[in-house]
Parts: sequence; structure tokens; C-alpha cells
Amino acid sequence: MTENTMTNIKYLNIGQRQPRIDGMEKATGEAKYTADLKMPRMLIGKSLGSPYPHAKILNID
Amino acid sequence: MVGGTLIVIRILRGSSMKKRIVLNVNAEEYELEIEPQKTLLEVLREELDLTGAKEGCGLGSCGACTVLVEGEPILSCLTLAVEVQHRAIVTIEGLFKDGHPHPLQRHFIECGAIQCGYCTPGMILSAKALIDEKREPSRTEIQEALSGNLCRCTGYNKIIEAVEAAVKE
Repeated sequence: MTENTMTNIKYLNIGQRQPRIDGMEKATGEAKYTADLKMPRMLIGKSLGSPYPHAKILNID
Repeated sequence: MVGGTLIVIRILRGSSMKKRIVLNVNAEEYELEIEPQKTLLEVLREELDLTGAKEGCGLGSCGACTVLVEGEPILSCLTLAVEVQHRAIVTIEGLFKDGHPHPLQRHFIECGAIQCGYCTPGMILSAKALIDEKREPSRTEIQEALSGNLCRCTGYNKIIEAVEAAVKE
């Protein structure tokens, strides 16, 4: 508990370190970030740089 | 020259000649068929579903992909899986044993050393390599050991405090 020097009120939460609700998941690697998700039939997009400076895309396979 | 290199990389990436390899991860043996150009990070995350190791930069600058190989911290985004066959690999998932977090994991939580958490697995593993080698590292030694791991949220003080607290335990 911390003491408020002006009023001498002791607070239960203010000024206290609160445990993160997702701390354990993050510390153990269990937490899932967007890049960690795998969904059924998930598609993955990637960018592909063109080797030509000026060209028309005629088709995409 | 650069163009030539790119074409070679594309040909390699496009090829699907798979190689059978054996990896020892968190004290378990895995027999896998992978493309030889796969990085250890890709194999851990995509083949073994161990997504605790993160890809931050993919260039070896940030340390988010740090895992231990024979107790040494390595950057799994710059290591090919075929290079580390039959060697003891430990990922962040391997530190949680029998329902108990490693003291480092506990102190990271208690000291507020975690915010977004993306750097945390790498930080904890770099710290583990240090304290396994040296029982009572100085603050400077802790800073040095973590210098390859970037954190963009907490600032480093709480992380260093967490490692110091784990050392004292």
C-alpha cells in the first residue's frame, strides 16, 4: 500500500503494481498473436516484386 | 549480380526437394521432412506449432526469435534447421515444466517486465543462457547478455530488474 502524503489515505489499487491478466501466457509463449494463428483453409498472401521497371501484368497464375 | 542472386534464391525457394531431418526440441525428438532452405524459426513455428519464438525483423537484428541450442542463445531466423540436427534445442515452451513456470518467467510477470510480450520469449531465453552459465551476473553482464534483444515497450529497466530478481532467488 502507498500512502497519500496529503490526506494519509492508503489505497489498495492506486499506486500499486497490478499483475497483467495475460502475463503468464506471454511469458510462456502460449499467447497467440495474429502471425501465430492458423485457420482452416487459410490463405497466405505475399508480395512479389516485378523484375521489370515498366510493364503490364498480362496474367497471374 | 544482385539480379542473378535473386533468381537463384527464387529457384531455391520454388524447389520442393525435401530432406528428412531429426530435431531435438524441448527434450523431444521430431522426425521431419522439410525443404533444406527452411530456417529453424520457420520449422519451429510452422511445422511444430511452437509459436513462442517470434519473427520480429527476420534479419537477425531484434532477437525475438532467440532460442537455445546446447544452452547457447542463437537467432533462429538466421539458422537453417538442417544445421542444428540432433542438438538440444530449447524454446520458451520448454521452460514451463510440470505446471510450473521458470523463475525467470515468474519474475518477468511480477516485475512488470512484459507489455506487448513480443520480445519476452527471446529476452527470457537470453537471460536463461546467462544465468545458467554464471550464477551471479552483474548488472552490466545482464545488460550485455540482453543487448541483442530489442524491446519497444517497457524500456529495459524492468526487464533487467526481473533478471536480477530471478538471480537472487
